[in-house]
Amino acid sequence: MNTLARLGSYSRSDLRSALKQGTLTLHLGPFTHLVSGASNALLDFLSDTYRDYQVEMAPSDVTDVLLSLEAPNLLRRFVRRQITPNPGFKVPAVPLPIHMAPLAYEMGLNLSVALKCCRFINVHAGVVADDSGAIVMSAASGAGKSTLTAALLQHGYRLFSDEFALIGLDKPLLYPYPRPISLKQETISVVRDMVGDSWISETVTDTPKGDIAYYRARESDLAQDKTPTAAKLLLFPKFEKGARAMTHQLNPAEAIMRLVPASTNYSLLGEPAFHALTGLLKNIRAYEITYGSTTDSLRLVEQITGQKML
Amino acid sequence: MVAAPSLMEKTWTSDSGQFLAVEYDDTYLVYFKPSGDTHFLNFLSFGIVDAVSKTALSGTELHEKLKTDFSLTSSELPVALVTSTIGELDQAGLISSVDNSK
Amino acid sequence: MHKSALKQMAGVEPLPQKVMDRITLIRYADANHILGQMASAVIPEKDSRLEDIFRNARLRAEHDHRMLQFEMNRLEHALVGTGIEPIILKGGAYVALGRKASKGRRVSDLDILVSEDELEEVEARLKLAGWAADEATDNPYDQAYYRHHMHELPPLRHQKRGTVIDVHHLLLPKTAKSKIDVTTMRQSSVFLEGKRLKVFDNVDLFIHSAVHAFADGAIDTPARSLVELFMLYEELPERDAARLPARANEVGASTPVSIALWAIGRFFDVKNSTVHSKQMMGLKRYLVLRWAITSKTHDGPLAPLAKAFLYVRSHYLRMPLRLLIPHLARKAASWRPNSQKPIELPVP
Repeated sequence: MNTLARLGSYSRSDLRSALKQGTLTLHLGPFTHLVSGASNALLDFLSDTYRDYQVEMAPSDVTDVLLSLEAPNLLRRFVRRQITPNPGFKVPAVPLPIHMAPLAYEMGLNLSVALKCCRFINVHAGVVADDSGAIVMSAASGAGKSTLTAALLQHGYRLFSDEFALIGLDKPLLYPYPRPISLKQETISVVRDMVGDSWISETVTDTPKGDIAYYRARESDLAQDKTPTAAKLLLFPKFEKGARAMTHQLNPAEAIMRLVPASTNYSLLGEPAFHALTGLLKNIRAYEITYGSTTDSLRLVEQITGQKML
Repeated sequence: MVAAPSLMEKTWTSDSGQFLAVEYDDTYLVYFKPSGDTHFLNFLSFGIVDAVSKTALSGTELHEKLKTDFSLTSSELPVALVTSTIGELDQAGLISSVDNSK
Repeated sequence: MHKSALKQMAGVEPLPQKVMDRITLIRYADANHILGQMASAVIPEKDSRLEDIFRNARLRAEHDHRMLQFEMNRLEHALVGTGIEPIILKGGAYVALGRKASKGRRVSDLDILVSEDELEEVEARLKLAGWAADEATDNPYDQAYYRHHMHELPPLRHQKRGTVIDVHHLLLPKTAKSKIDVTTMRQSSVFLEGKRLKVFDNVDLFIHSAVHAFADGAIDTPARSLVELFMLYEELPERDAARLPARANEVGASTPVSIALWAIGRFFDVKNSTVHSKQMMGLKRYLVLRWAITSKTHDGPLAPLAKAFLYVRSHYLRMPLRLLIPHLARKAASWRPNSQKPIELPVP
């Protein structure tokens, strides 16, 4: 069954057997991912959050990512069951209780892309785009990046990625990789109020990172997952409770020096990465923005881009 | 041992074929090919790398040249600052002493 | 893992046609750290997904090589004026010489060899240039253990660059039963062009690789070691290959070299190497060990047993029993069943 189709178009038993045999192949953006893992928690998660994604029941070619979700040992396959992502190389992953399969899966994919895929510069950043180009948002976790990303999606932007800005090495373009947006702790209810309950996965509670839920990518985001676009703005957002809305333009060299440590493969790539980032900053401005509310953050983006939000 | 005073006596050089530099206002991003590192240099440090890529200079000569090029006095550009900058650039490999390569 | 897998990874046999077989091979190569070598030896179809995967692997190796070249540059820089001319070992040497065995090879540490009386000065110079005792072994027990029983200083990590250098003065631990005559090997070492760094000559390069693979316990990556030995052997001019048995005998490396030659013959069907290996050893003596290597390489059902066997053997070779027991006891004492703390992942 080497045909690409929506995951949701396959029966639960087909999906289950493909996952069990380790042949389920997810196509997204520039990457293909072979996934294996026999757990109901994973099957439930994929059937819901990934229902609009393109998959094959068996790979038609070799894949970029080889992710297998497995028990850390034989005992934990049966007793107080645990799950751990195995991307094919050693990772410092903690075994998780089986109900946290979605987290293990998302973590495994992130690790694979971050550490294995070096045809792009991977920067830990959210990216959204409209017809005039992409906004790259680089921030430490907890700085409100996901909330801002989700908010921009409600105002005419499409999702490129919440975790990875994939920057081309030959041309400084952004490549979409629209995985679901991971929401943590209080962000979950903020975004749920914003987008509606049906878009948010079930909450995985008590994970090492607290409560986690996923905001499903829309079909319109997925439909354009092969179309790269030029950047129009680089933001370093900073959410601070009660903060006055502020913008501060950065020297491009400083902006690059901030992107470098946020990248998992900049130093690995060397010279081409230097050309790509300096090329990226040739055409766009970089700002640090500080805000205390989502409304403020949107207003700041409007102000900087000079574009009225939809 | 590499003691501080000798840095000023040594003759320094750099190879412009080994680095890529992009200027932003008065700062430079410099990619150093041999190490694969990207350095964020101010005009003074880059001034040193750039100057010795054209002609090899001793630390003392460099000090004089920087003062002339940037119209600085000895109090604005103390020897200690030049010495420590040379030391850092040497550590990073961006400049190297001619005496070493004999 | 099938025998032909090694040949496929070394690029001497075509890749399997079935997609799942290819994926299995890639997964195995990656897990055994030879995907880069495979990517350099195998030419993929143009504009294919395989080409992308291979490009990833090559990029990682290129980074390592750049890092290693720079570390050699910094090492030379740190030793200016001492007159010390270290020998670059293993991966570093292959990279510096542009050997086939270096193509696509991942390298994490720089291994160098100096004479025992130079150790102190080398360590002092490196520390002055920004290296320091690596955190993992920066405790009195490990420091003393390395200095008394090992063939190298405790690893030194550069404080800014994070790179590690291992300074050896012998090729095997002081306590190892077999002794390699490193002085004789040093005598025929050669300078790297334009540098004050040296490498072993062709024959000794192979001998050291064999010693490393089969005498000092580095059996944990047998596939990688085998591919390395094969590639080194392939590049040995016939005259040098013929010198191997005598030279191995001279420096006390007959056992590892004969096993290495046997393995190359066995896994890559190289006739010459089988012939030389038979000249060197009585076949019966090493039957058990070879069985162990074979079953471990093939990941067969006997692999765990073979691994246990190799583990004991390699430790036995490294350390006389009187040292082995307190060492293992200490390792056991520092182990706690639930010591695994949650570790922050690099990516959220």
